[in-house]
Amino acid sequence: MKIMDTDYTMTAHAGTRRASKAILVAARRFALYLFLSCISLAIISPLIWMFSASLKTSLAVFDFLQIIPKEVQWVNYVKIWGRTNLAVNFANSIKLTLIITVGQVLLSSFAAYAFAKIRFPRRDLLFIFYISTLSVPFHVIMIPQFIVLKSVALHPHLAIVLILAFNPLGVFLFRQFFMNIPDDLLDSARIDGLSEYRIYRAIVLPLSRPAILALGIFAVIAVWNDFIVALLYIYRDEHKTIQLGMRSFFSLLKGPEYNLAMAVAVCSVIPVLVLFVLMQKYLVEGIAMTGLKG
Amino acid sequence: LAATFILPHFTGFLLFTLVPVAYAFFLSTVEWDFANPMTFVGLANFVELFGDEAFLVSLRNSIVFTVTSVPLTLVISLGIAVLLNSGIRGIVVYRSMIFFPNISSVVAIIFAWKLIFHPALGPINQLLRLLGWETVPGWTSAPGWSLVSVIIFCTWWGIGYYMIIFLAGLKSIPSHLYESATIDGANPWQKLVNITIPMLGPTIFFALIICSINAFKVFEPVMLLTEGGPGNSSSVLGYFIYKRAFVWQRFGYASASAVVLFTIILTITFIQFRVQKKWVTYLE
Repeated sequence: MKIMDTDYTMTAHAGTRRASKAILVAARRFALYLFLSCISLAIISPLIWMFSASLKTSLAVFDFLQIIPKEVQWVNYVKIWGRTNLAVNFANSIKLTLIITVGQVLLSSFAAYAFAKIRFPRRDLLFIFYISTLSVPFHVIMIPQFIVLKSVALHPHLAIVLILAFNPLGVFLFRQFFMNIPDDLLDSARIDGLSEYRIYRAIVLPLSRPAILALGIFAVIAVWNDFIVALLYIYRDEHKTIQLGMRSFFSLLKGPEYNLAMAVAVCSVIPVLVLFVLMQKYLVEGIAMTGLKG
Repeated sequence: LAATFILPHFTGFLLFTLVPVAYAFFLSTVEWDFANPMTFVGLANFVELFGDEAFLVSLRNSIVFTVTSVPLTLVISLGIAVLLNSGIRGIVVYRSMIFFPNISSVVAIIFAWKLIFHPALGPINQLLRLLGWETVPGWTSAPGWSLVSVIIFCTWWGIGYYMIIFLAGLKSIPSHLYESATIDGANPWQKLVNITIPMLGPTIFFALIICSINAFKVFEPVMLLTEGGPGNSSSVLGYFIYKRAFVWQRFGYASASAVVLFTIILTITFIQFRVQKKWVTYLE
């Protein structure tokens, strides 16, 4: 009887202990979610503030407790287009982004194919040399580049294309990807008499969708957001990219029209954010694969 | 045959990266403003640099910026990555929100930050006043705070990127290590210190190197947020180089300071190569 008694109390204890442990685990979970939500919101708050300000009247911009505008001014997004050459700036950026992105993907995949799949003397040495130049800061080469490109008086857009199209990072990314394509596959194609160009075009490229998309997104983000190269080469309004056009817009504000400035800022950020939301899987894989960015 | 594949990329690479690097070293030994003939001055540019107050301030600011922003960025992004990796739901949503700043146009977000930092009207100082601060910081317009503003901005801007690198590293830690630690009764903190951080060693080191290199290269945030000012209080190497070359037209002098920056970055890269040999091999 005595024994049964202790037995009973012991199981009861274990039961309450299990229950309190479950409560503790649940509380910890809740705290974790709460904490992560606070951090994410804190980090994204400047962007929320930007969007909120873009929909306010200019007087309400600094009323920071008014997160949801009292009178939503969608008209701000209409007003901005009449001001400066924003439409032209957008068109210039779209043009440059497309040309440079396609250029980077083609040029680097082509070179990477040789580095990954064709044997030639000193191949790996040349590749290491290639990759080591990734750490050369832009500030070292920008002055010589500027002097040379200015002296031949190229169109500023052409100068920007030439500077941004040859990206060693792209070669690195494609090479890593191509290394995982089995050699047997290519060898059997070679036996069938396909040339290396055909193999690249018909076998390797179609298999490389993830790498193409990853480099593609890197390039789109880098070119769209590029500020310094455009700053050095573009002087005239009609050549300006969105980043420079936006900067002129900010400097030409008539009084405290910060609501309009924020509307322009939102417009310049939206294309990249949408692209990221749609393709983030490839971007994240690309960063993990290279650990580097543009 | 291989050459035909490599040549298109290599030609551009040669013309727009390799030749300019060599040319930069040559330029560092001349005095040239583009309009007048070039004169060879030997090492005079370097001698002038190390007596130039503005250069020394920029160099010091670059070092201060690096040793503060790098640990801040890495600790915060590692912390977030560890929390995100603890098997929670909705990781994609949190990850996207934290990564957004990193891909947003720096011109756009810095203009927003300038308003946020606004000494009289900005939300930060309004909040500080609500919390009872009497003398609020002047942020971008105060000499003692301008570099702090740049550090705050850059940390905010960089967290998302390093978080993704750490998340990739965390995924590759085998889960059985955690399972056996749980059986042994380890608490989350012990698991972090004894499993996560040692296993993540190579990733942390790699992130440290990349983050330090990027910190020494910082340019746009300084140019757009403070223009190096007030005075030279927030000038960094990248901004010094830009200003001497493209505002003052002193291409030789600017190249000499660029060579100094290059030397710093090469030193960091060299340390990386030495240490990384033990951990990672790029070519297998």
